[in-house]
Amino acid sequence: MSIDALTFIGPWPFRRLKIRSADELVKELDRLGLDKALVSNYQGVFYKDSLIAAEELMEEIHPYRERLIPVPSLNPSIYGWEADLVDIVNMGVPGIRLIPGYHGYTLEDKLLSNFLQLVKENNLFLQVLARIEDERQHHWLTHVGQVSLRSLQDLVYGNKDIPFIISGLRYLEIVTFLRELPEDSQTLADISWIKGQVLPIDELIDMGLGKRLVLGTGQSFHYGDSALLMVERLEDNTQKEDILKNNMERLFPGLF
Amino acid sequence: MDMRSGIIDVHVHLRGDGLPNKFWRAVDRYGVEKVMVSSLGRVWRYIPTVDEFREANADVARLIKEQSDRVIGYVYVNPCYEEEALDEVKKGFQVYGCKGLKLWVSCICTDPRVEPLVEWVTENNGFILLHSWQKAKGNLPGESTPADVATLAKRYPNTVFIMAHIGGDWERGIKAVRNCPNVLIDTCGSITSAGAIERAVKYLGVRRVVYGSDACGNDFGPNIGKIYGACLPEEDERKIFKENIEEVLAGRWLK
Repeated sequence: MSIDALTFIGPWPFRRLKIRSADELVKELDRLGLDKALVSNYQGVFYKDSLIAAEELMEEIHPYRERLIPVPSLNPSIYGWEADLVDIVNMGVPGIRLIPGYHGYTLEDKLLSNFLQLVKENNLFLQVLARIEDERQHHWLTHVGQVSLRSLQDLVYGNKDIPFIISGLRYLEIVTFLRELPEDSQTLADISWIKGQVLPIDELIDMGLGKRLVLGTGQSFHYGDSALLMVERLEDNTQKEDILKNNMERLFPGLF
Repeated sequence: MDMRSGIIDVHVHLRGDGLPNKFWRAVDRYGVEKVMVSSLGRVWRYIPTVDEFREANADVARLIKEQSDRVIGYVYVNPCYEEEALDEVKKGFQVYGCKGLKLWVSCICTDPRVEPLVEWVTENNGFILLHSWQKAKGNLPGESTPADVATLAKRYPNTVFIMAHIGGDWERGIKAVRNCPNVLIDTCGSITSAGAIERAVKYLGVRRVVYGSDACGNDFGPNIGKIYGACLPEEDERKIFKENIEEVLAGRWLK
């Protein structure tokens, strides 16, 4: 069993991507030798109506529910999100993705407190995306806010009873974030953005952070091989297994 | 994924005054056969002094001596110091055994002060690795865009240039140098966005694409992964990983 914690389907508005459909994503998972993936769609990044995006996601992945686990995104800064969340929960999803940088709010916003309460009541996990695309490459039409490390830390520290997956942190950010994480925090971080160092995963493992890491490739936006190769070439099989599946299975028993 | 071997990495930088043990562990782990290195200084400065780039090149020279079977050197200078920069380029090639010139962000590559360096390198069968980016939030004052690279390359059609990072914003970078047959692109850096390699091969031809990592600032894994992820024919992968740069090193690439 191997799990990719960060995948997307759908059209990216500014570039034609090779993988757009669920069918294409599953074929790519096969090529990479990965069994399952958490998935959302780009419609959920760009639509104002999160519910429609979630409906499209569920429809698209329907034939592959054994392998593709839906984690739709929701924008809690748009009025009526509470009803959308209820409808999305009724679709049988285990978690929600938050993409504050693209959705026009920050993690410090007070509007999140009600949302977090409902997340807890519905036993959902939260996957928070610090970034999708490198800031230096943003399209001239996009205005993407920065997700501060401090705000991520405050969110996670203040909500210990919510399981979190944090995605899109660069190497130095992930070091700071994980090193300061309380031991009892139910939080994992994916490795999709930790490229800025030679053997970065070895470094994180040497710091005692290996149990906090999960494979996230960021495909279809990123090459899936890029993150996966770092894990596959680890010398210790136990460490490899932890990142590919054990850490996820420990935090989410029964989900996979 | 199986283990391919025989990789030449065209874009590596020293960390401090050398390459740490961890770097060589990574080289072995990923099957990298040779690395082409420059030093941007023991402490990276956008605009290094003469002493700083001389010290940086002496560090590279020492590494070439110690690891001659695995290390190929670039000499690095700040072209704003015209006379000293040219002297250092000559020393880099003639004394240290460097094969290429590396230029970073001291000045835009179309600056007239770069021209004597280009001319000397060309006359001495070298090539030039040019940093290039076009950043959404603006470049550094001396940072060349892919369009700058194209301007310089058209001025010197007999010089081999390698545009680093596929120009950073690769969609614009590839297009900027499409009509410059003397420009190759290297694939290095932290950008792993899918489609970049396929697009470079489509518009430039596989012969103009070479693999790089930007280690020690980046890992080999994500960068090698980009090439695998493009799912090219094995023959094309071999060209990108090794054969194209071998042609450049042998002075045959433009012939």
